[in-house]
Amino acid sequence: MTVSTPRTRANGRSPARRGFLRGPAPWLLPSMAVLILLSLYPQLQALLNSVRLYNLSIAPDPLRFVGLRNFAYAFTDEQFVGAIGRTMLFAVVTTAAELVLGFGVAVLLNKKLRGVRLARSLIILPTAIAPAVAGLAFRYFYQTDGIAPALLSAIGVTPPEAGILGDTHTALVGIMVTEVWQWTPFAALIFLAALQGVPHDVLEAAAIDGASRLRTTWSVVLPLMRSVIVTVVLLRFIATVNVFDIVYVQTQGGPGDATTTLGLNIFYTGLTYYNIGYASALTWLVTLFVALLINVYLLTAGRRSGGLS
Amino acid sequence: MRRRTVLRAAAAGLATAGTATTVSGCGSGNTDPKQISVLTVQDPFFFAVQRLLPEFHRQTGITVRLEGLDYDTLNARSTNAFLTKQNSIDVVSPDSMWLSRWANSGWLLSLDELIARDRDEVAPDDFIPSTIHSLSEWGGHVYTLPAAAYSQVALYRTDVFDRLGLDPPDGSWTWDEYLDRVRAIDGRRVAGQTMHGTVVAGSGPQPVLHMYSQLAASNGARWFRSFPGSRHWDFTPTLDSPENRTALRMFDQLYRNSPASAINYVWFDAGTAFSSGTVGLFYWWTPYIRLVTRTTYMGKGRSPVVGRYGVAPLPMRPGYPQKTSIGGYAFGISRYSAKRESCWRFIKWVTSAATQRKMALLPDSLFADFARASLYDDEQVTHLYPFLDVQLRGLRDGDGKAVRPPSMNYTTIEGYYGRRLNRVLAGQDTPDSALAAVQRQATDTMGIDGFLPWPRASYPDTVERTRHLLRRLSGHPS
Repeated sequence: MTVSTPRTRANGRSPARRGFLRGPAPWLLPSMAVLILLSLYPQLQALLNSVRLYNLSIAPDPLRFVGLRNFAYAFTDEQFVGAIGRTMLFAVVTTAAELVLGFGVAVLLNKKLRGVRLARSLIILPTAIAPAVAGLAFRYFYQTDGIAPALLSAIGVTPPEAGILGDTHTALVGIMVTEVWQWTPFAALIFLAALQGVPHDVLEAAAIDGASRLRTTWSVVLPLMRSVIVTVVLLRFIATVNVFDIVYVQTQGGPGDATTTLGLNIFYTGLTYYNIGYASALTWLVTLFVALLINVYLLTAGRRSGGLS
Repeated sequence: MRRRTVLRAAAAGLATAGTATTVSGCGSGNTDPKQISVLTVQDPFFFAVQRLLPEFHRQTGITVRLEGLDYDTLNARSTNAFLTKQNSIDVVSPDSMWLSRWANSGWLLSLDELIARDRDEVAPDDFIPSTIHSLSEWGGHVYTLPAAAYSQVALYRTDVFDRLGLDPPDGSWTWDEYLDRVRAIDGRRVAGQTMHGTVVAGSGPQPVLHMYSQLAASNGARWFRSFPGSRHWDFTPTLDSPENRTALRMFDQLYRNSPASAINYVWFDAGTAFSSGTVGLFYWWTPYIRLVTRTTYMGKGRSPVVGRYGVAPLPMRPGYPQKTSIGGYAFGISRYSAKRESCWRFIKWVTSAATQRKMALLPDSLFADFARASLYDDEQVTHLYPFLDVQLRGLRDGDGKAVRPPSMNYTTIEGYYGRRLNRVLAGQDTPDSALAAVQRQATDTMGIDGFLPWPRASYPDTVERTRHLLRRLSGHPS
């Protein structure tokens, strides 16, 4: 008869537990705990609030469970629906502009030009400024007796009478310009690092094959930078969907609701009107919406590249 | 060190950190009763109080940490502190429109007993009743005492009126006459400058609503069918009434005769536009009687309109009783403060006639926003600050609760109401359709929030009722 004994050591620990303690897991526990506390807990609390009538205007505590009513109301709330369209326009235009301009700047900074080292050091400055400060600076830049209207007049364009930020047709454009000014250097620096990582022999091979510069950029450089581009698009898209500071400082969402973005709409709902339940529902809707867009984008980008690294 | 020891140490560290965070979250305030934290806004009274704080410290030994915030930050920070039951705020000055919410939530202490106890020191019957009614009283209790009380008045350029041959306003002028004068001034050149007829504070939601609600109330518009002055409250919105539509059409006209950039003007932007010398006439909160003497908000530079402007009572709409808006800031004690006696000593001091007088007489002070009637008779003060008689008339005509009724969900309605008004000025909406939309939204809000029908007790919340309350607190038979 064979007697099998469990594979335990004298101290009684199972191999699985030993493996757990010897692996990286214990070292990850503190950061996991912090992550759960700081990230997951607020989101779950927001989810709980989103299904309750919780309005500080009428009571300091949540009143009752209302199911999905807050979510349903969002789709009939023209301010929220309007903010979605405006925010998507803002996010797509600014991300695209930052991408194109950032790549152009990176190409210039990658050349052996005079003063390029100094330019590489200075270009980070706009990104290092707090968005609220950048917003304030541009507010003065745009004001009716500021530099921007004077420049427009100098090139024969009549600036709006109410000011660039005071006109419903130009206010969002003004904020977009501020955003692009501030974050293009971020894209440029990442692209510069990626450009410097493109192998020279590949470029030389393309040159030997007679490819023009444009052709080389399109068919060789950009595909090699694809994962970096996807990352920059993701980071900038998420940041621009959540834009708040520069809009708050420059227009507070006006004139009318011409610049009321999702971030601002949720801020007003939650922290000015104190409708915590509804603001929580809006937050979750935006989170799900952005997650959906990002996944569609990643799937599309992954399919084109045959899988992202 | 063995891995197990490291893990245990890390776990102990995390536990300690967690406990420390929990404990500190329970109340981050200082427990020394000789140090109190006071939160308010940076209106002119703030700067005067700040300069006199060393005197308060000498008298009482209490150190006051006075913080001046912007309007939204004050609301957000206080609400957050109350919700999390922190004692980091001892004394706070809610906007009058937040008082019902804060009082009903139990976030502020009622001052009734303290006032009655120290009635000789507080002199409650020296307060102009409309200021206590509008800023401090809710549900028959006094929760705050006013440190600064504002009404609204019209400011006009005397030299421009003379040059253009316009009659200066008298005490009984109408809103139509106001608009006529605005139109007569707009676009005219006076002393080498092209004038704007008027200026509005167009930014939404609060600034535009502060200005528009005054015009609407003077024209007979009310927010609800019967609140707050009636015996039975009915919160059915009346925001698309004919009176409100007339008022909004007129306000839109006022904007058409303002600088176009006024669409984004907040409170002080409107005042600064007048002080720049390019605006003929406007109406606004009474602190601007003095603020327009400076080129910038609370700045040092003397504005070009000094000695060239007059102040008149607000115009009226024939057939409607005048209702003047009342605003300002009043100090109350946080329910979570552990230093109530120190807080009360500060409130008594800062709202006393003696301190208010000193605040006004400080060199370069711009403060004369008294809630105490006695100071409007003070010879030295009235000599230093012209137009106090007009200011007092505004306060006596005042009924802040009629102009902007403080339902607990006021800020919710203010949010979309103010934004709609801004859309009208921006040309994105017409006055009639904007008011129809606000009416729909307000009806929804009142229904969802449980105000229709009103399920709780009602009472006529009038200035007269507050007058009786003050008499009672003063020890006189009501």
